[in-house]
Amino acid sequence: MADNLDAVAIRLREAAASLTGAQMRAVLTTVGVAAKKDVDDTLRAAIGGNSLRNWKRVKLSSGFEFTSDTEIELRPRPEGPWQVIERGAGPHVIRARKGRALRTPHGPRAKVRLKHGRGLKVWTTAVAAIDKATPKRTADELHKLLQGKLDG
Amino acid sequence: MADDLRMKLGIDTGQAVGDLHKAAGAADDLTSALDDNRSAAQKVADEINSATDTIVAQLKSDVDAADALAKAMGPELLSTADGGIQGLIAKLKDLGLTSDQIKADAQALGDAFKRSDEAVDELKRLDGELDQIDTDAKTATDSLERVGKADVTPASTSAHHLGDEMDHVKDRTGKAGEAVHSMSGNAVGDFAAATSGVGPLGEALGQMTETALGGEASLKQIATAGLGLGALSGGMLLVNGLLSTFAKEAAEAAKIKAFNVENAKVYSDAIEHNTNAIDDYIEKARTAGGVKIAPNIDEQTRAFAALGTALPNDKLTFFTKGIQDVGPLLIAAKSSAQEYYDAAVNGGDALDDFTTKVRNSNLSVDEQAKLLAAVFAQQDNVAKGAKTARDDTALYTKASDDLTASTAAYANAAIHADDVTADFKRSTDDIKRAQEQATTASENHRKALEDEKQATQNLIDQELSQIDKKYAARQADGDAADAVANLTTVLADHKSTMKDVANATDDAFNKVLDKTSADLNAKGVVADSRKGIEDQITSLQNEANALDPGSPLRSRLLEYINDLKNIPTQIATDLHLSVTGDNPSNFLGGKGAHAAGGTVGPREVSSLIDEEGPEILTLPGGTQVMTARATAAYLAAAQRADAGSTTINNFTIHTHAGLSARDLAAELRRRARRNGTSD
Repeated sequence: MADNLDAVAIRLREAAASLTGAQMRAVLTTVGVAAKKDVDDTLRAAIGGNSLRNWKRVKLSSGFEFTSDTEIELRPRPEGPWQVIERGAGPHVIRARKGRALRTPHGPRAKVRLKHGRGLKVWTTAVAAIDKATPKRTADELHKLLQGKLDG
Repeated sequence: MADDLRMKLGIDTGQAVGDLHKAAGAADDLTSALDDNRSAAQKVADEINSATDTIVAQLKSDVDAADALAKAMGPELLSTADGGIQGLIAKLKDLGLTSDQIKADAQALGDAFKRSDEAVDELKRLDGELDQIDTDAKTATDSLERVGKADVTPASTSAHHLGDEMDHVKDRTGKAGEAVHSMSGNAVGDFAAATSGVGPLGEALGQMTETALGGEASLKQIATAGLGLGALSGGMLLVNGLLSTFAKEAAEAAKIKAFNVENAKVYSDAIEHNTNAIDDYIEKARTAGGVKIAPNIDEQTRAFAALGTALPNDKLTFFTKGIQDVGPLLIAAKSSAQEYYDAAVNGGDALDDFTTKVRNSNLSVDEQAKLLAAVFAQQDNVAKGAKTARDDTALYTKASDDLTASTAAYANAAIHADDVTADFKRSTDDIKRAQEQATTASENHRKALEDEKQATQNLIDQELSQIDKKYAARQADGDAADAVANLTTVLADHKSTMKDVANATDDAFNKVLDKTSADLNAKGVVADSRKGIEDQITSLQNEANALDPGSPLRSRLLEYINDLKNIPTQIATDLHLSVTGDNPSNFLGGKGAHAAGGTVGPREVSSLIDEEGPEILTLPGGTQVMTARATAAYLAAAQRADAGSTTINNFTIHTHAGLSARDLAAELRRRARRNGTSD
């Protein structure tokens, strides 16, 4: 029995060691990738894709960076267009560049007056979804990690 | 400045890491406790084994000594020995001899016993002769007395004189007889002392040893093993000490936590303490056993007291105290400590013999009563000692049982823990499956919500589109108003040229048309439909009515209104195209035409065709012309269907004023692809 207890003690210490460093980074990477997908899904549900109808060149997504072994920071990319989608824009006029025309549903125009545009709160919605889903994801990953260590 | 869009996701594992380390430490402690507990039990077993080895060695040594002595004495003499060879060995060891010494000098001891036996026989023979002399003397005296009673004076006087002489002889003979009897009795009673030649010293040593052994454990067997059994007693003492510790710990043994380092230390301390006490006792016992002479009972008592203080257990001192009280009486009764001990321990015949000896002694009645009472008291002590031994044995047995039960309980607990762990794992798996099912259900629900959201979004898009259209209509309205105002300004400006007026008029005209189109679009009316045309006419008429009669814009609008009104509601056009397999090159666009394949340019194109003789076909710009390769494929297919025949496709297309040439061409292509005739 003492031998078994020794083995148990070793496994417990290995499990404790696995909750730090590179293995925790691996867990957080999985959680972060899932969070990115949440952002993409929320964006697709809000605007039908990953770019705006009149802003096709800009591909909207998100990314994360490690601030420590046990924490990541998720950011929208690029942040400028995300701010417009999130919070909208005030009334403004868009003028065509010299020698060019703006394409509008009514034909080419030199300028277009735009009224106030409301924000779609896509990032806020995505954060709420991530907040809801992340605890279970983290628990599942930690469960797999500890199960691997304790089962031997 | 807008707030940054950020989200931090972190996992705090500090508590979990700490708990896991704690659990590992607990496992280590439990392992150490089990190991230490095993070590303590092993030490007890070693101690018992050591005591057993000592006893076995001692007994073996005694057996060797007994064999040697028995050979030296011979069976005849040995049969007369009280207690047999074992009794002799015990008495010799009581005198301070070791088994090795007895074995080495067995022959000398045997010879001494033989001489002693012969001396006793001689003394007995002399005693018999003296008895006979005494009987003869008495007979002579009686005869003389009878003679003296006769009336013969001289004879009587002589007879009396003789009688006196005989009385004197008788007195002397009687004293001699008493002395012989006394010598004989003492010689037999003090057998050990006479044969060893050490006299009172041997008796003192024997008494001292007996006292020490008897007081130590009150067990008869100890009397036959000498100081060697001191080790056994010490071993028992050790076991008792450990058992006491075990008994104290047994109540907690059911708990696993009792098997910890602290308890193991208690066991070790108990072993060490008792071992030291035993060593001290043995040393003092040996020192006491080495006393060469005991001149009086006080010194003996002091020696006993020294032994007593070596033993912390009060059970071991009662005999010492008892011998202190009765020691002088034993000496006065001419009894040995061995007899006293045998009477107290063995009872029965030994007690009867001792009682008889005390009764026949010179002790007073009170002294005899006191001595016998002491023996009976010692019997009680022996009984108590035996009971203590039984109790200790029972306690040891119970402690062993408890320990076994505790171990079994711990094993059961471990097994139960395994079962619980297995149940927990199954429960965890069930929960995981339930979570997966819930996740699937949640995903389905999410998809349903997405569909609903998409439908809502489509509705919103439609609404937004409508809003955009209305916005565009308002913007076009503004642009039209600006253009009309600009035209008015140009007309009012005398500096304006005709070209300025024409440009302003064109601009205003276009803006008004755009406004009209935007209005229709916002209302969801198709501009080319009948209603759309009617709405345009109405709207433009209203615009024209608002202008001055001489306004060039008004004129343009009225012309446009007129054109709109002239559009027929339906135009039926029959277009017959003949494609001849023999002369496919005659089909459309000959060499040098502007539409040898692809789309006809902005200008109209005329080509020679041959439907009913040479005919000029003029097509508007934007008309699609099949390429030579596509045409060849088309004709080949036609030839396969009806080789050599002429295929005529009749297309009837309903057109109206708003139908552009581009739209007409597209419709023709569509019909041609279908290769059929439509309405």
